[in-house]
Amino acid sequence: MQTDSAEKPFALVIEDDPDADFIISEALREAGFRTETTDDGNRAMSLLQELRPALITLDMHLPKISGSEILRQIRADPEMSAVEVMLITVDYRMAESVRQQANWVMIKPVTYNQIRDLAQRLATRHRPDS
Amino acid sequence: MFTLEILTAFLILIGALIMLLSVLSTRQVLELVARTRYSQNWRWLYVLMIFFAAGYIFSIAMVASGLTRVVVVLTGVIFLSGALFVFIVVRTGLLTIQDLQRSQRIIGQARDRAQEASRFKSEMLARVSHELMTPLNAILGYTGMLNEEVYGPLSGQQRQLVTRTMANTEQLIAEINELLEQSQLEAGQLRPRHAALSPQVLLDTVQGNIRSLAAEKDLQVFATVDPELPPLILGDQRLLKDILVNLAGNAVKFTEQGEVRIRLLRAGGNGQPQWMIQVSDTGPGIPQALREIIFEPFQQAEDATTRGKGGFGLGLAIAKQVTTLLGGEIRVDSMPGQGSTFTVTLPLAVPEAQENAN
Repeated sequence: MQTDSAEKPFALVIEDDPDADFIISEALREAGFRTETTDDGNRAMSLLQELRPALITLDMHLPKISGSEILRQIRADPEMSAVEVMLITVDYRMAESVRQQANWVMIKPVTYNQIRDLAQRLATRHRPDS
Repeated sequence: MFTLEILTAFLILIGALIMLLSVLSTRQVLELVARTRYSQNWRWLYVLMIFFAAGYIFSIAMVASGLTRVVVVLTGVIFLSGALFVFIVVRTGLLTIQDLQRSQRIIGQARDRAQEASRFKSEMLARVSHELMTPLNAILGYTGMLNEEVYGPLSGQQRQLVTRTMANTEQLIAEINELLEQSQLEAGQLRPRHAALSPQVLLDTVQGNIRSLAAEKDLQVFATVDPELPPLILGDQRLLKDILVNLAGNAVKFTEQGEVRIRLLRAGGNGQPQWMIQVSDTGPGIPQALREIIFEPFQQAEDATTRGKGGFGLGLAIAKQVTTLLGGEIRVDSMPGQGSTFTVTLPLAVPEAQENAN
């Protein structure tokens, strides 16, 4: 990536499985994002305020607050309306029920490639010089 | 002197006792007696004496009122017979009601237990599947990264091993998904959720799923959508994909050379509008005797041509159950040695907006 790290957009990975987090984060970094990970809904909300990420990847089954609740909170906040949300989950039924609120829905297993390619298109959009 | 009156009083006494016993149980009668304050030994005698005295006074009164003694005795006999009749009717009725209540209770308990067991099985399977899926997804993700040479180039042999690891992992994931789906179908947990969908997009997704295996076996896959079919129809994308992937996947799996044709068609007929999914192959065909069994869960029409294809044999069973769930029918036409054609006929509905546009 040619862009200076300070100019790279942030991506927040909300995921409780360390393996999934590793693959998603690597793909996002390859695509040109800086990443931060959390599995805690409250922490996610404060990270959203703090980092102003361009992209969120969101798992549905999380230990404290469910993915759909986090998504609801994000969509209820006018300041965060621009953030792009990528659902990455095994639970296609749950994903279907909140499909309208997300920009993308990916059903696990998802590959490094799929995430990287999609994220790359997004990163180009969010790069300051583009 | 008063023998006939005594006899009548006795008949009335017995009749009264029978009447009492027909509405109360022996235990209740005993409790009733126990509530009287007389000494335990005399209780029964006391009750009997009351009844007897009542009967005796009654018959004397009847004689005094001018009835002949024979009529009085007859009254006693009729009273006793009536009491017996009431006893039999009430007891039989009570017993039947009690039997019914007991049967209902037993059925209810059995149903609760069965539901509990089924729920437990589904929950267990869902939990086990989830626990298996998480590490399998990780394996697939990591091998995918190796395959993509994210951390440096692979040698030819390394690539071969990585590809095989990925293929095996994908197969395992597919089989766990089949098991999970079968269990959800059994538990009645899969409910169709209809939304507007494009038959063309549905077909493209399915083609994507079978492309690599078909290419590996050098099979030609033809997929067409009937222009008569509306561009958007109402359906459950996931369940329709299940039917198509299972039928098309099976066709590719069992066909060694030739072609697989997938067609989405508008069905004729004057009644309810219908559409069809048709999958034909040039595989070994299915002998007549096995055409029913192939739709049963965990059964595979095993003969020399199909042996060693692996899997749980759930694909066609799932296709059939999902078809039924969507209100459709599935059938197979086949000539051994000349291939098979699976046809799924489903009710056709279009989204409201389109209906209005038309």
